[in-house]
Amino acid sequence: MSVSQRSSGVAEDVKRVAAAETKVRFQNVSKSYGSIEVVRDVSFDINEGDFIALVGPSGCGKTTMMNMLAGFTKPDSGAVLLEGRPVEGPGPDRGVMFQDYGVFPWLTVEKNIRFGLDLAVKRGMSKPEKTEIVERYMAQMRLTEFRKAWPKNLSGGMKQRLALARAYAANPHFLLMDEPFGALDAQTRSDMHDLLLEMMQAERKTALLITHSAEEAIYLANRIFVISARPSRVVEELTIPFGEKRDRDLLDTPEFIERRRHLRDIVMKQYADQQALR
Amino acid sequence: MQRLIEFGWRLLPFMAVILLWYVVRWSGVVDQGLLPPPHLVFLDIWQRSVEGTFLADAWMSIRRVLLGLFFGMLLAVPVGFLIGWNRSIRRFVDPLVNFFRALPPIALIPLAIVYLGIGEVAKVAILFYAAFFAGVIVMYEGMSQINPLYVRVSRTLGATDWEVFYKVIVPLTVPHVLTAARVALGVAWATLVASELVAAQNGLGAVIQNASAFFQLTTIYAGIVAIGFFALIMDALLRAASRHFLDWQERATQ
Repeated sequence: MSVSQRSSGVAEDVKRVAAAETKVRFQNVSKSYGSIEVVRDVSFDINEGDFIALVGPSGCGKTTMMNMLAGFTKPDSGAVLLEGRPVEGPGPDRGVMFQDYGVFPWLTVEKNIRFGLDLAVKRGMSKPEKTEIVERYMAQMRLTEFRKAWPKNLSGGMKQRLALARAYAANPHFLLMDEPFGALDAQTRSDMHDLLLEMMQAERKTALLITHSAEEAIYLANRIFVISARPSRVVEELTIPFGEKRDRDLLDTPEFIERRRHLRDIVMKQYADQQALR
Repeated sequence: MQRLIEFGWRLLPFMAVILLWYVVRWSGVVDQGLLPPPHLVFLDIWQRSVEGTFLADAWMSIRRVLLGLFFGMLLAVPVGFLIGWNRSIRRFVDPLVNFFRALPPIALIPLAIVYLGIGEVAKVAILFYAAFFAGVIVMYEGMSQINPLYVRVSRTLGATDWEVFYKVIVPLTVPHVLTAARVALGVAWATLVASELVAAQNGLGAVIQNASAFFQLTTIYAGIVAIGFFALIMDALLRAASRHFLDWQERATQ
Protein backbone atom coordinates (compact mmCIF):
# COMPACT_ATOMS: atom_id res chain seq x y z
CA MET A 1 0.00 0.00 0.00
CA SER A 2 1.45 3.39 -0.91
CA VAL A 3 1.29 6.51 1.21
CA SER A 4 -0.96 8.35 -1.23
CA GLN A 5 -3.49 5.51 -1.11
CA ARG A 6 -3.46 5.62 2.62
CA SER A 7 -4.03 9.35 2.79
CA SER A 8 -7.09 8.91 0.60
CA GLY A 9 -8.08 6.33 3.22
CA VAL A 10 -7.90 9.07 5.81
CA ALA A 11 -10.23 11.25 3.77
CA GLU A 12 -12.67 8.36 3.54
CA ASP A 13 -12.48 7.80 7.26
CA VAL A 14 -13.16 11.40 8.01
CA LYS A 15 -16.17 11.33 5.72
CA ARG A 16 -17.47 8.18 7.36
CA VAL A 17 -17.06 9.53 10.86
CA ALA A 18 -18.87 12.70 9.89
CA ALA A 19 -21.76 10.76 8.42
CA ALA A 20 -21.79 8.02 11.04
CA GLU A 21 -24.54 7.80 13.58
CA THR A 22 -23.76 7.36 17.25
CA LYS A 23 -24.53 3.81 18.37
CA VAL A 24 -23.18 3.88 21.90
CA ARG A 25 -22.67 6.77 24.25
CA PHE A 26 -20.82 6.60 27.55
CA GLN A 27 -22.14 9.63 29.43
CA ASN A 28 -20.18 10.67 32.55
CA VAL A 29 -19.97 7.06 33.64
CA SER A 30 -18.58 6.27 37.11
CA LYS A 31 -18.37 2.97 38.91
CA SER A 32 -16.93 1.79 42.23
CA TYR A 33 -16.60 -1.61 43.82
CA GLY A 34 -16.78 -0.99 47.53
CA SER A 35 -14.24 1.69 48.34
CA ILE A 36 -12.32 1.16 45.09
CA GLU A 37 -13.22 3.65 42.43
CA VAL A 38 -12.78 1.83 39.14
CA VAL A 39 -14.19 4.19 36.51
CA ARG A 40 -14.41 7.97 36.94
CA ASP A 41 -16.51 10.23 34.78
CA VAL A 42 -15.87 8.58 31.43
CA SER A 43 -17.57 9.92 28.33
CA PHE A 44 -17.15 8.83 24.73
CA ASP A 45 -19.18 7.88 21.69
CA ILE A 46 -18.98 4.81 19.50
CA ASN A 47 -20.24 5.26 15.97
CA GLU A 48 -21.76 2.77 13.59
CA GLY A 49 -18.98 0.64 12.10
CA ASP A 50 -16.30 1.77 14.55
CA PHE A 51 -13.64 -0.62 15.71
CA ILE A 52 -12.65 0.79 19.09
CA ALA A 53 -9.69 -0.44 21.10
CA LEU A 54 -9.40 0.32 24.81
CA VAL A 55 -5.75 0.17 25.79
CA GLY A 56 -4.45 0.56 29.30
CA PRO A 57 -2.79 -1.12 32.28
CA SER A 58 -4.33 -4.27 33.72
CA GLY A 59 -6.76 -3.80 36.56
CA CYS A 60 -7.60 -0.33 35.33
CA GLY A 61 -11.30 -0.89 34.73
CA LYS A 62 -11.39 -1.53 30.98
CA THR A 63 -13.30 -4.74 31.57
CA THR A 64 -15.74 -2.92 33.81
CA MET A 65 -16.44 -0.47 30.99
CA MET A 66 -17.05 -3.33 28.57
CA ASN A 67 -19.22 -5.15 31.10
CA MET A 68 -21.43 -2.09 31.39
CA LEU A 69 -21.98 -2.09 27.64
CA ALA A 70 -22.48 -5.86 27.60
CA GLY A 71 -25.07 -5.44 30.35
CA PHE A 72 -23.35 -7.52 33.03
CA THR A 73 -23.07 -4.56 35.39
CA LYS A 74 -24.53 -1.06 35.72
CA PRO A 75 -22.84 2.30 36.27
CA ASP A 76 -23.20 3.97 39.68
CA SER A 77 -23.76 7.31 38.02
CA GLY A 78 -23.96 8.50 34.45
CA ALA A 79 -25.35 6.28 31.72
CA VAL A 80 -24.31 3.84 29.03
CA LEU A 81 -26.69 4.50 26.18
CA LEU A 82 -27.27 1.99 23.44
CA GLU A 83 -29.02 3.65 20.50
CA GLY A 84 -30.21 6.31 22.90
CA ARG A 85 -31.52 4.00 25.60
CA PRO A 86 -29.72 2.87 28.78
CA VAL A 87 -28.40 -0.69 28.65
CA GLU A 88 -30.74 -2.93 30.64
CA GLY A 89 -28.96 -6.27 30.45
CA PRO A 90 -27.13 -8.61 28.08
CA GLY A 91 -28.71 -9.30 24.72
CA PRO A 92 -28.09 -11.02 21.40
CA ASP A 93 -27.38 -7.67 19.70
CA ARG A 94 -24.05 -7.59 21.59
CA GLY A 95 -21.84 -10.63 21.07
CA VAL A 96 -19.02 -11.07 23.57
CA MET A 97 -15.69 -12.86 23.34
CA PHE A 98 -13.68 -13.61 26.46
CA GLN A 99 -10.05 -14.44 27.05
CA ASP A 100 -11.17 -17.77 28.57
CA TYR A 101 -13.04 -18.58 25.35
CA GLY A 102 -16.32 -19.47 27.09
CA VAL A 103 -17.00 -22.28 24.63
CA PHE A 104 -19.47 -24.73 26.16
CA PRO A 105 -17.47 -27.87 27.03
CA TRP A 106 -20.52 -30.15 26.95
CA LEU A 107 -21.36 -29.30 23.32
CA THR A 108 -19.52 -30.32 20.19
CA VAL A 109 -18.03 -27.68 17.87
CA GLU A 110 -21.10 -27.75 15.65
CA LYS A 111 -23.57 -27.51 18.54
CA ASN A 112 -21.61 -24.67 20.13
CA ILE A 113 -22.02 -22.60 16.97
CA ARG A 114 -25.68 -23.57 16.78
CA PHE A 115 -26.42 -22.69 20.42
CA GLY A 116 -27.51 -19.10 19.82
CA LEU A 117 -29.64 -20.09 16.83
CA ASP A 118 -31.66 -22.65 18.78
CA LEU A 119 -32.76 -20.13 21.40
CA ALA A 120 -36.25 -18.68 21.53
CA VAL A 121 -35.01 -15.31 20.21
CA LYS A 122 -34.30 -16.95 16.83
CA ARG A 123 -37.66 -18.72 16.75
CA GLY A 124 -38.60 -17.17 13.41
CA MET A 125 -35.68 -18.67 11.53
CA SER A 126 -36.18 -21.84 9.50
CA LYS A 127 -34.14 -24.96 10.17
CA PRO A 128 -32.34 -25.04 6.79
CA GLU A 129 -31.48 -21.39 7.30
CA LYS A 130 -29.90 -22.16 10.69
CA THR A 131 -27.97 -25.10 9.27
CA GLU A 132 -26.67 -22.93 6.45
CA ILE A 133 -25.44 -20.31 8.93
CA VAL A 134 -23.72 -22.92 11.10
CA GLU A 135 -22.03 -24.51 8.08
CA ARG A 136 -20.90 -21.17 6.70
CA TYR A 137 -19.20 -19.93 9.86
CA MET A 138 -17.81 -23.36 10.64
CA ALA A 139 -16.15 -23.35 7.22
CA GLN A 140 -14.93 -19.75 7.54
CA MET A 141 -13.31 -20.57 10.86
CA ARG A 142 -11.76 -23.76 9.39
CA LEU A 143 -13.58 -25.93 11.91
CA THR A 144 -15.67 -28.10 9.60
CA GLU A 145 -13.55 -31.21 9.97
CA PHE A 146 -13.78 -30.87 13.77
CA ARG A 147 -17.56 -30.51 13.86
CA LYS A 148 -18.02 -33.52 16.14
CA ALA A 149 -15.03 -32.73 18.38
CA TRP A 150 -15.36 -31.79 22.04
CA PRO A 151 -13.82 -28.43 22.99
CA LYS A 152 -11.41 -30.20 25.38
CA ASN A 153 -9.66 -31.59 22.29
CA LEU A 154 -9.22 -28.19 20.61
CA SER A 155 -6.20 -25.89 20.82
CA GLY A 156 -6.52 -22.38 22.24
CA GLY A 157 -6.65 -20.83 18.77
CA MET A 158 -9.35 -23.25 17.66
CA LYS A 159 -11.40 -22.52 20.77
CA GLN A 160 -11.19 -18.81 20.06
CA ARG A 161 -12.17 -19.40 16.42
CA LEU A 162 -15.11 -21.40 17.72
CA ALA A 163 -16.07 -18.55 20.02
CA LEU A 164 -15.87 -16.12 17.09
CA ALA A 165 -17.98 -18.39 14.88
CA ARG A 166 -20.57 -18.73 17.63
CA ALA A 167 -20.68 -14.97 18.17
CA TYR A 168 -21.07 -14.27 14.45
CA ALA A 169 -23.72 -16.98 14.00
CA ALA A 170 -26.00 -15.13 16.42
CA ASN A 171 -25.63 -12.11 14.11
CA PRO A 172 -25.00 -9.44 16.74
CA HIS A 173 -24.70 -5.79 15.85
CA PHE A 174 -21.77 -5.33 18.23
CA LEU A 175 -18.77 -7.48 18.93
CA LEU A 176 -17.28 -6.93 22.38
CA MET A 177 -13.91 -8.55 22.98
CA ASP A 178 -12.20 -8.73 26.37
CA GLU A 179 -8.55 -9.53 25.65
CA PRO A 180 -9.66 -12.38 23.43
CA PHE A 181 -6.19 -13.22 22.16
CA GLY A 182 -4.32 -12.71 25.42
CA ALA A 183 -3.88 -16.43 26.09
CA LEU A 184 -2.66 -17.32 22.59
CA ASP A 185 0.90 -17.68 21.35
CA ALA A 186 2.29 -15.00 19.02
CA GLN A 187 1.73 -16.93 15.78
CA THR A 188 -1.83 -17.99 16.61
CA ARG A 189 -2.58 -14.49 17.79
CA SER A 190 -1.50 -12.93 14.52
CA ASP A 191 -3.54 -15.53 12.58
CA MET A 192 -6.55 -14.59 14.69
CA HIS A 193 -5.99 -10.89 13.90
CA ASP A 194 -6.13 -11.56 10.18
CA LEU A 195 -9.09 -13.86 10.53
CA LEU A 196 -10.93 -11.21 12.51
CA LEU A 197 -10.11 -8.53 9.90
CA GLU A 198 -11.35 -10.89 7.21
CA MET A 199 -14.62 -11.42 9.06
CA MET A 200 -14.97 -7.69 9.65
CA GLN A 201 -14.52 -6.98 5.96
CA ALA A 202 -17.12 -9.57 5.00
CA GLU A 203 -19.56 -8.52 7.71
CA ARG A 204 -18.80 -5.28 9.46
CA LYS A 205 -19.66 -5.19 13.15
CA THR A 206 -19.29 -2.29 15.48
CA ALA A 207 -16.53 -3.56 17.71
CA LEU A 208 -14.98 -2.87 21.09
CA LEU A 209 -11.67 -4.53 21.85
CA ILE A 210 -9.86 -4.54 25.18
CA THR A 211 -6.14 -5.16 24.87
CA HIS A 212 -2.73 -4.57 26.40
CA SER A 213 -0.99 -4.68 23.08
CA ALA A 214 -0.33 -1.41 21.26
CA GLU A 215 0.37 -3.34 18.08
CA GLU A 216 -2.88 -5.29 18.28
CA ALA A 217 -4.84 -2.10 18.90
CA ILE A 218 -3.32 -0.21 15.95
CA TYR A 219 -3.54 -3.18 13.62
CA LEU A 220 -7.23 -3.82 14.27
CA ALA A 221 -8.90 -0.60 15.38
CA ASN A 222 -9.84 2.64 13.70
CA ARG A 223 -10.06 4.51 17.01
CA ILE A 224 -8.06 3.91 20.16
CA PHE A 225 -8.87 5.14 23.65
CA VAL A 226 -5.95 5.08 26.05
CA ILE A 227 -7.29 4.39 29.52
CA SER A 228 -5.53 5.70 32.62
CA ALA A 229 -4.58 3.85 35.77
CA ARG A 230 -7.40 3.47 38.28
CA PRO A 231 -9.78 5.23 38.45
CA SER A 232 -10.16 4.92 34.69
CA ARG A 233 -10.46 7.94 32.51
CA VAL A 234 -9.86 8.33 28.80
CA VAL A 235 -6.42 9.94 28.61
CA GLU A 236 -6.05 10.20 24.88
CA GLU A 237 -7.93 9.29 21.76
CA LEU A 238 -6.09 8.24 18.60
CA THR A 239 -7.57 7.87 15.15
CA ILE A 240 -5.97 5.17 13.04
CA PRO A 241 -6.36 6.05 9.36
CA PHE A 242 -5.45 2.73 7.75
CA GLY A 243 -8.86 1.94 6.31
CA GLU A 244 -10.49 -1.46 6.44
CA LYS A 245 -8.13 -3.46 4.23
CA ARG A 246 -5.05 -4.25 6.27
CA ASP A 247 -2.39 -6.90 6.08
CA ARG A 248 0.89 -7.88 7.73
CA ASP A 249 2.92 -5.54 5.49
CA LEU A 250 1.35 -2.65 7.32
CA LEU A 251 3.31 -3.59 10.44
CA ASP A 252 6.59 -2.58 8.80
CA THR A 253 5.50 0.78 7.45
CA PRO A 254 6.91 3.93 9.10
CA GLU A 255 3.37 5.19 9.79
CA PHE A 256 2.59 2.06 11.76
CA ILE A 257 5.88 2.03 13.63
CA GLU A 258 5.57 5.69 14.54
CA ARG A 259 2.05 5.20 15.91
CA ARG A 260 3.08 2.09 17.81
CA ARG A 261 5.95 3.96 19.46
CA HIS A 262 3.69 6.84 20.40
CA LEU A 263 0.97 4.58 21.81
CA ARG A 264 3.48 2.49 23.75
CA ASP A 265 4.88 5.62 25.34
CA ILE A 266 1.54 6.81 26.65
CA VAL A 267 0.54 3.34 27.78
CA MET A 268 3.86 2.82 29.58
CA LYS A 269 3.28 6.04 31.44
CA GLN A 270 -0.10 4.72 32.60
CA TYR A 271 1.56 1.51 33.73
CA ALA A 272 4.02 3.52 35.77
CA ASP A 273 1.15 5.41 37.40
CA GLN A 274 -0.63 2.14 38.12
CA GLN A 275 2.52 0.81 39.82
CA ALA A 276 2.69 3.94 41.92
CA LEU A 277 -0.89 3.25 43.07
CA ARG A 278 0.06 -0.07 44.64
CA MET B 1 -6.43 -59.05 24.34
CA GLN B 2 -6.11 -55.47 25.54
CA ARG B 3 -9.40 -55.87 27.39
CA LEU B 4 -8.33 -59.14 28.94
CA ILE B 5 -5.17 -57.52 30.30
CA GLU B 6 -7.20 -54.59 31.59
CA PHE B 7 -9.59 -57.00 33.33
CA GLY B 8 -6.63 -58.87 34.79
CA TRP B 9 -5.31 -55.64 36.29
CA ARG B 10 -8.67 -54.97 37.90
CA LEU B 11 -8.73 -58.46 39.36
CA LEU B 12 -5.15 -58.37 40.61
CA PRO B 13 -5.71 -56.42 43.86
CA PHE B 14 -8.48 -58.83 44.88
CA MET B 15 -6.22 -61.78 44.15
CA ALA B 16 -3.60 -60.17 46.35
CA VAL B 17 -6.08 -59.75 49.21
CA ILE B 18 -7.18 -63.40 48.93
CA LEU B 19 -3.56 -64.45 48.91
CA LEU B 20 -2.89 -62.36 52.00
CA TRP B 21 -5.93 -63.95 53.62
CA TYR B 22 -4.44 -67.42 53.04
CA VAL B 23 -1.05 -66.28 54.29
CA VAL B 24 -2.51 -64.87 57.51
CA ARG B 25 -4.43 -68.10 58.06
CA TRP B 26 -1.43 -70.37 57.40
CA SER B 27 1.03 -68.26 59.32
CA GLY B 28 -0.81 -69.05 62.53
CA VAL B 29 -1.01 -65.44 63.68
CA VAL B 30 -4.75 -65.90 64.01
CA ASP B 31 -6.39 -69.04 65.40
CA GLN B 32 -7.35 -71.09 62.34
CA GLY B 33 -10.81 -71.71 63.80
CA LEU B 34 -11.44 -67.97 63.81
CA LEU B 35 -10.50 -67.36 60.19
CA PRO B 36 -12.14 -69.59 57.60
CA PRO B 37 -10.17 -69.97 54.36
CA PRO B 38 -11.44 -68.10 51.28
CA HIS B 39 -12.41 -71.20 49.32
CA LEU B 40 -14.76 -72.35 52.09
CA VAL B 41 -16.34 -68.87 52.13
CA PHE B 42 -16.96 -69.03 48.38
CA LEU B 43 -18.25 -72.59 48.72
CA ASP B 44 -20.63 -71.35 51.43
CA ILE B 45 -21.90 -68.59 49.13
CA TRP B 46 -22.44 -71.14 46.38
CA GLN B 47 -24.25 -73.66 48.60
CA ARG B 48 -26.48 -71.06 50.20
CA SER B 49 -27.30 -69.62 46.79
CA VAL B 50 -28.23 -73.00 45.31
CA GLU B 51 -29.97 -74.55 48.32
CA GLY B 52 -30.88 -71.65 50.54
CA THR B 53 -32.19 -68.12 50.42
CA PHE B 54 -28.88 -66.32 49.93
CA LEU B 55 -29.80 -64.80 46.55
CA ALA B 56 -33.21 -63.78 47.81
CA ASP B 57 -31.54 -62.08 50.78
CA ALA B 58 -29.10 -60.35 48.50
CA TRP B 59 -31.95 -59.16 46.32
CA MET B 60 -33.83 -57.76 49.33
CA SER B 61 -30.73 -55.76 50.29
CA ILE B 62 -30.14 -54.52 46.76
CA ARG B 63 -33.76 -53.50 46.44
CA ARG B 64 -33.64 -51.49 49.66
CA VAL B 65 -30.46 -49.76 48.56
CA LEU B 66 -31.86 -48.92 45.14
CA LEU B 67 -35.15 -47.59 46.56
CA GLY B 68 -33.35 -45.51 49.20
CA LEU B 69 -30.91 -44.19 46.63
CA PHE B 70 -33.68 -43.41 44.17
CA PHE B 71 -35.84 -41.42 46.59
CA GLY B 72 -32.81 -39.83 48.23
CA MET B 73 -31.44 -38.55 44.92
CA LEU B 74 -34.93 -37.58 43.75
CA LEU B 75 -34.99 -35.05 46.58
CA ALA B 76 -31.24 -34.30 46.78
CA VAL B 77 -31.01 -33.06 43.19
CA PRO B 78 -33.66 -30.32 43.36
CA VAL B 79 -32.72 -29.32 46.92
CA GLY B 80 -29.03 -29.23 45.97
CA PHE B 81 -30.03 -27.06 43.02
CA LEU B 82 -31.95 -24.62 45.19
CA ILE B 83 -29.28 -24.17 47.84
CA GLY B 84 -26.54 -24.06 45.26
CA TRP B 85 -28.35 -21.41 43.28
CA ASN B 86 -30.11 -19.14 45.74
CA ARG B 87 -28.16 -17.40 48.46
CA SER B 88 -31.06 -16.81 50.85
CA ILE B 89 -32.30 -20.39 50.57
CA ARG B 90 -28.74 -21.53 51.23
CA ARG B 91 -28.53 -19.35 54.33
CA PHE B 92 -31.67 -20.88 55.71
CA VAL B 93 -31.10 -24.51 54.76
CA ASP B 94 -27.35 -24.80 55.20
CA PRO B 95 -27.28 -25.05 59.03
CA LEU B 96 -30.13 -27.55 58.99
CA VAL B 97 -28.41 -29.71 56.39
CA ASN B 98 -25.20 -29.65 58.41
CA PHE B 99 -27.04 -30.57 61.59
CA PHE B 100 -28.90 -33.52 60.12
CA ARG B 101 -25.95 -34.64 58.09
CA ALA B 102 -23.87 -34.92 61.25
CA LEU B 103 -26.37 -37.41 62.72
CA PRO B 104 -25.39 -40.93 61.75
CA PRO B 105 -28.42 -42.55 60.09
CA ILE B 106 -27.89 -45.57 62.33
CA ALA B 107 -28.77 -43.42 65.32
CA LEU B 108 -32.19 -42.92 63.79
CA ILE B 109 -32.95 -46.62 63.53
CA PRO B 110 -34.71 -46.78 66.94
CA LEU B 111 -36.86 -43.79 65.97
CA ALA B 112 -37.64 -45.31 62.60
CA ILE B 113 -38.75 -48.51 64.35
CA VAL B 114 -41.01 -46.56 66.70
CA TYR B 115 -42.71 -44.56 63.95
CA LEU B 116 -42.51 -46.85 60.94
CA GLY B 117 -42.27 -50.33 62.45
CA ILE B 118 -39.78 -52.93 61.33
CA GLY B 119 -41.07 -53.36 57.79
CA GLU B 120 -39.64 -52.28 54.49
CA VAL B 121 -40.80 -48.69 54.87
CA ALA B 122 -38.62 -48.15 57.93
CA LYS B 123 -35.52 -49.50 56.21
CA VAL B 124 -36.05 -47.60 52.98
CA ALA B 125 -36.72 -44.46 55.02
CA ILE B 126 -33.37 -44.77 56.79
CA LEU B 127 -31.57 -45.37 53.50
CA PHE B 128 -33.42 -42.43 51.99
CA TYR B 129 -32.16 -40.27 54.84
CA ALA B 130 -28.60 -41.49 54.39
CA ALA B 131 -28.61 -41.12 50.61
CA PHE B 132 -30.28 -37.71 50.69
CA PHE B 133 -27.79 -36.01 52.99
CA ALA B 134 -24.78 -37.58 51.34
CA GLY B 135 -26.10 -36.60 47.91
CA VAL B 136 -27.26 -33.08 48.71
CA ILE B 137 -23.84 -31.98 49.96
CA VAL B 138 -22.09 -33.15 46.81
CA MET B 139 -24.80 -31.54 44.69
CA TYR B 140 -24.52 -28.12 46.13
CA GLU B 141 -20.76 -28.12 46.40
CA GLY B 142 -20.83 -28.92 42.69
CA MET B 143 -23.42 -26.24 41.93
CA SER B 144 -21.32 -23.59 43.61
CA GLN B 145 -18.41 -24.50 41.34
CA ILE B 146 -20.33 -23.80 38.14
CA ASN B 147 -18.41 -21.22 36.12
CA PRO B 148 -20.54 -18.06 35.74
CA LEU B 149 -18.76 -17.40 32.43
CA TYR B 150 -21.02 -19.91 30.67
CA VAL B 151 -24.12 -18.21 32.01
CA ARG B 152 -22.81 -14.85 30.77
CA VAL B 153 -22.01 -16.21 27.33
CA SER B 154 -25.44 -17.75 26.97
CA ARG B 155 -27.03 -14.44 28.01
CA THR B 156 -25.10 -12.57 25.32
CA LEU B 157 -26.43 -15.07 22.80
CA GLY B 158 -29.95 -14.18 23.93
CA ALA B 159 -30.84 -16.97 26.35
CA THR B 160 -33.84 -16.40 28.64
CA ASP B 161 -33.76 -17.39 32.34
CA TRP B 162 -35.38 -20.71 31.50
CA GLU B 163 -32.95 -21.35 28.63
CA VAL B 164 -29.97 -20.52 30.86
CA PHE B 165 -31.34 -23.09 33.30
CA TYR B 166 -31.99 -26.04 31.03
CA LYS B 167 -29.37 -25.42 28.33
CA VAL B 168 -26.47 -24.38 30.58
CA ILE B 169 -27.06 -25.17 34.25
CA VAL B 170 -28.57 -28.63 33.76
CA PRO B 171 -25.77 -29.99 31.53
CA LEU B 172 -23.20 -28.60 33.95
CA THR B 173 -24.99 -30.32 36.82
CA VAL B 174 -25.06 -33.83 35.36
CA PRO B 175 -21.48 -34.64 36.49
CA HIS B 176 -22.34 -33.61 40.03
CA VAL B 177 -25.53 -35.68 40.02
CA LEU B 178 -23.52 -38.75 39.07
CA THR B 179 -20.86 -38.06 41.69
CA ALA B 180 -23.56 -37.46 44.30
CA ALA B 181 -25.18 -40.76 43.35
CA ARG B 182 -21.89 -42.60 43.80
CA VAL B 183 -21.27 -41.07 47.22
CA ALA B 184 -24.87 -41.70 48.27
CA LEU B 185 -24.61 -45.29 47.09
CA GLY B 186 -21.61 -45.96 49.32
CA VAL B 187 -23.33 -44.44 52.32
CA ALA B 188 -26.55 -46.33 51.57
CA TRP B 189 -24.77 -49.70 51.57
CA ALA B 190 -23.04 -48.92 54.85
CA THR B 191 -26.31 -47.87 56.44
CA LEU B 192 -28.26 -50.80 55.01
CA VAL B 193 -26.23 -53.42 56.74
CA ALA B 194 -26.46 -51.59 60.04
CA SER B 195 -30.22 -51.33 59.78
CA GLU B 196 -30.54 -54.98 58.79
CA LEU B 197 -28.32 -56.05 61.65
CA VAL B 198 -30.68 -54.42 64.12
CA ALA B 199 -34.05 -55.46 62.82
CA ALA B 200 -34.61 -57.59 59.78
CA GLN B 201 -35.78 -61.06 58.92
CA ASN B 202 -34.09 -61.03 55.56
CA GLY B 203 -31.32 -59.28 53.67
CA LEU B 204 -27.56 -59.71 53.79
CA GLY B 205 -27.33 -57.91 57.14
CA ALA B 206 -29.81 -60.41 58.61
CA VAL B 207 -27.80 -63.30 57.16
CA ILE B 208 -24.74 -62.01 58.99
CA GLN B 209 -26.70 -61.41 62.19
CA ASN B 210 -28.19 -64.95 62.16
CA ALA B 211 -24.82 -66.50 61.38
CA SER B 212 -23.29 -64.60 64.26
CA ALA B 213 -25.93 -66.01 66.63
CA PHE B 214 -24.80 -69.53 65.69
CA PHE B 215 -21.12 -68.57 65.44
CA GLN B 216 -21.00 -69.52 61.73
CA LEU B 217 -17.89 -67.54 60.87
CA THR B 218 -17.77 -68.78 57.29
CA THR B 219 -21.25 -67.43 56.63
CA ILE B 220 -20.40 -64.10 58.25
CA TYR B 221 -17.52 -63.79 55.83
CA ALA B 222 -19.77 -64.91 52.98
CA GLY B 223 -22.19 -62.10 53.79
CA ILE B 224 -19.42 -59.52 53.98
CA VAL B 225 -17.89 -60.60 50.67
CA ALA B 226 -21.31 -60.50 48.99
CA ILE B 227 -22.02 -56.97 50.24
CA GLY B 228 -18.68 -55.77 48.95
CA PHE B 229 -19.28 -57.50 45.65
CA PHE B 230 -22.69 -55.97 44.99
CA ALA B 231 -21.61 -52.51 46.13
CA LEU B 232 -18.67 -52.74 43.74
CA ILE B 233 -20.88 -53.80 40.82
CA MET B 234 -23.31 -50.93 41.39
CA ASP B 235 -20.48 -48.44 41.63
CA ALA B 236 -18.97 -49.80 38.42
CA LEU B 237 -22.33 -49.33 36.67
CA LEU B 238 -22.50 -45.71 37.81
CA ARG B 239 -18.95 -45.12 36.65
CA ALA B 240 -19.76 -46.60 33.26
CA ALA B 241 -22.75 -44.24 33.07
CA SER B 242 -20.43 -41.32 33.90
CA ARG B 243 -18.03 -42.29 31.16
CA HIS B 244 -20.87 -42.54 28.69
CA PHE B 245 -22.60 -39.25 29.54
CA LEU B 246 -19.53 -37.22 30.42
CA ASP B 247 -17.34 -37.90 27.44
CA TRP B 248 -16.94 -34.14 27.12
CA GLN B 249 -15.31 -33.69 30.52
CA GLU B 250 -11.62 -33.17 30.97
CA ARG B 251 -10.28 -35.88 33.21
CA ALA B 252 -6.87 -36.04 34.80
CA THR B 253 -6.77 -39.85 34.63
CA GLN B 254 -6.72 -40.60 30.93
